[in-house]
Amino acid sequence: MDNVSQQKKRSLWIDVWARFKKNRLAMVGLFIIIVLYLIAIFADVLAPYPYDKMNLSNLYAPPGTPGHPLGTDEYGRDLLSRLIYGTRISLTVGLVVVAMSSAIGVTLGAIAGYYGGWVDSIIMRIVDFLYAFPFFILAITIVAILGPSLYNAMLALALVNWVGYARMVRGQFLALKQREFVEAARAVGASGFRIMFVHLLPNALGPVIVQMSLGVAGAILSASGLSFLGLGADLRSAEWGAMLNAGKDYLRSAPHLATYPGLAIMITVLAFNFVGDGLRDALDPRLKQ
Amino acid sequence: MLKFIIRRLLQAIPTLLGISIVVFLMVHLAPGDPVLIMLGSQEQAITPERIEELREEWGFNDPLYVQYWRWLKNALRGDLGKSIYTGQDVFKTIVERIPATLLLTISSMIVAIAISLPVGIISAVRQYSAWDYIGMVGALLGVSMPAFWLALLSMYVFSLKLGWLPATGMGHFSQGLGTVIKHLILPSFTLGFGMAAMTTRLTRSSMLEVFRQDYIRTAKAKGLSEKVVIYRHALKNALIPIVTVIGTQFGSLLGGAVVTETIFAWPGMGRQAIASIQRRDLPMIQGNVLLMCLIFVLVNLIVDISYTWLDPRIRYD
Repeated sequence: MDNVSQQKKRSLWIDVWARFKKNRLAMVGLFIIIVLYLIAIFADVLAPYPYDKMNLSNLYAPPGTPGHPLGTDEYGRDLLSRLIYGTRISLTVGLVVVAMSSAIGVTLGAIAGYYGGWVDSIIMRIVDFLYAFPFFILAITIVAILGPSLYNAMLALALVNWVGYARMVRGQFLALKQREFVEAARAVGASGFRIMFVHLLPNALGPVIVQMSLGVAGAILSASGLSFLGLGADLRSAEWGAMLNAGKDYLRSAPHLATYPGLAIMITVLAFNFVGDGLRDALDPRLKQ
Repeated sequence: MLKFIIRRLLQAIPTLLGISIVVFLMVHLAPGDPVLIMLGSQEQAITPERIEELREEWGFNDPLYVQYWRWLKNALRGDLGKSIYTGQDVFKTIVERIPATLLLTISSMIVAIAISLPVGIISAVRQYSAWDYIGMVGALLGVSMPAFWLALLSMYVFSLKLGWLPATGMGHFSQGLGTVIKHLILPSFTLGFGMAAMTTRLTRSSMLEVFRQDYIRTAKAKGLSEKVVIYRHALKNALIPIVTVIGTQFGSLLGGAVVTETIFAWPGMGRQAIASIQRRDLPMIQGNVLLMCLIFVLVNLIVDISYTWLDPRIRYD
């Protein structure tokens, strides 16, 4: 009897975690993400200088200069400090974009999949239509209309990225709503929204979480690309893409300015990709055979 | 076959109309008075009366659908207006730049396919070997690396330090094909690398999926050589999902080209688009977006049609 009750407690997520733990790359990714968040939270303590502190007598100092382990930039600002503060921007961008796009996509996908009919047709026409645009160009277009800023860049990416969630959740809901537990919930008088978000959504959550993890990686990458083009964060901020944009003009004289911010982007994106891949394998062990 | 192509062409019409509506609406969605936007920054001191006059003259007082119809009719005749910044004809300026962008994106695609198919196939055939491991970690790095960073690094190493390749520009065909190819190497490799990474992962998983099918076991049981089984039986079937993705990947290549062209001063549409966004040159932005989307729709059409060749089971009726 004891055995049985203990087995009941083993939820899907405990199994997933057990499989996830065995994936070395995924654990490395998770470790990096935790470290990055700690850096972002304690940036004020960790950074040797404020990110915007200029020192005009010490411009373009190469890496290894005493007091500036990664050197200084064209205004004599400490590169390491700027990279540390940059984690705040990039992690925020990743989370905000994914939060917005998944909120829109999951809601619309759920409505389309659950209700079907004309609601479904309208939503899926919009989705199909957005797929007809090259995504990055659509994002650039939206920023071009709204005007360049980090906020508009995040909004543009969210408006572009929700379609993936919508398609996925709709597909899951179409399959799930035929199951008996939905009929049971309906029989006891649960409302449509209750069935969608309390009964169906938890069962469709796996792929959504994988997509969110990979989505953070993609959002950080795209947002830094927009900032690099001068369509996102402005050049004074410590955003990694904007730093690369400023650094590209000094490629010959100060190559470190175009090196370290890119490395920071890659490590961050790689960590989220590791975790996303690990989650996918952990959630669907059949693929791993 | 012809019937399928015609039907697929007809299906593209609503998409194209939708794209044209979005592009048309850009002027009206941008914050600020459309008249002031179309005037650009040249005329600061303009009287409200003059604005009203221009609004009437340019037809901004007409109902939106009348304006759209007029815009669409002009667009179909290749009249997309004039650049606010240079006064040049938008359509002509952009069309001149299409070949450069196509040259870059198609070479990047060739680079991507040339890397990803062999690596993906080897990774799948020798699953869990050292090759597989190296290939997959390399692919993950490629997916996670910002293309503009790779571009800057390779520009630093191969043109500034080693001096092997030119850093910017495209050269001209009159200087010989070799010059253009030299200019093309860095941009197409940095742009193609990200796509190579993605396609490698897909090739591997698609091949692994096909290897599990019964007909592969049959082919092996017949005593066919491994080569024949891999290339004739497995690869052709594994290619179907890969071709789909190559079509959609063309969209990200066009998006990536915007970045790559800006870095390498490649005289294509992408660089033009960014320059016109920085100048807030709205007709030029509209033209670039419209033509890039048009190219994307066309490429997907070609991909769809090529399916029927790859997989005769697909008939679409």
